[in-house]
Amino acid sequence: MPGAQFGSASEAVVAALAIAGDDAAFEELIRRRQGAIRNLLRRLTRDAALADDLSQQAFVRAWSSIRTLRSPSAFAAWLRALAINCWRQHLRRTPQEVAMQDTIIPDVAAPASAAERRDLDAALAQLSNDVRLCVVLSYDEGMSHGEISESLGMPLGTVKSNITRGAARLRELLHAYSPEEREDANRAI
Amino acid sequence: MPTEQFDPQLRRLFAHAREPLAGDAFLAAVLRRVMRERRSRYRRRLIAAAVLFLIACSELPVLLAKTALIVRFLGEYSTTPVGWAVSMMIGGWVLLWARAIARS
Repeated sequence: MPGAQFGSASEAVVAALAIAGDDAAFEELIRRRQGAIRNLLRRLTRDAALADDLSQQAFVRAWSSIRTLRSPSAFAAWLRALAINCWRQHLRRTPQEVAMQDTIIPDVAAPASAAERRDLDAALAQLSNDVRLCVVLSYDEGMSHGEISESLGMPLGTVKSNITRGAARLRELLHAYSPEEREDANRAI
Repeated sequence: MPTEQFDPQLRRLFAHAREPLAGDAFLAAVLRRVMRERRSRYRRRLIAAAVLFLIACSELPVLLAKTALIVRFLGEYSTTPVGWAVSMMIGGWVLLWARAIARS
């Protein structure tokens, strides 16, 4: 079974092996981290195929430069930074379409998680790139404001402001998912 | 008031949006790209080595000629009194250095 040789070894141990040149260890790191990186990039790009392409680029860059990683325990944060850089480089290369302001986000909450995902992604697309990035790193990755500021090289005040504005805008766009509106919708049924 | 407040509703939406993604096809695609990068890196190194070799070959006659000039100059210089004195100093230094190594 692939990855069985690493069992429940900690990521730091596997990363240390990968840094030393163990290809099987690097494959194990891909297996463990691919879900998180692909989900992060899906939230940022709203395009599953593009997200997967950028995720692959991030992993190839990680393979190329893993020997420069000094601390194996910092692998997850380092990989996430590579993924965000891939996304930012994509934004610079590709003329961006402004998200349609009239992209329809239903007034009624969708029951299934796939539809919730679609509505969340549609709402995220209406945020500016920096605001979206800060909101996703905060709400999806669970990073603190300080960690986001340090990771992105963005002033702490800017990070807080982006998250506050972004969350307020998302609440507005996704009002159908608020507990009060769900109750009203259920009563109406 | 806490310095970082999270909207629980948004947190829930983000948590629900996270989907389990099958990794086998993705892993295979990454490994294919890594193989391509590896081959590309090998080709770049081969080309760099070939270029260095060509430069060395083209410069070698000049290098050999200059080395011969230096050796001839040193050979002629060492037969003069000053050259003899410098040779003695170098010899003395070598002896002292060898003694220091023997003692250690």
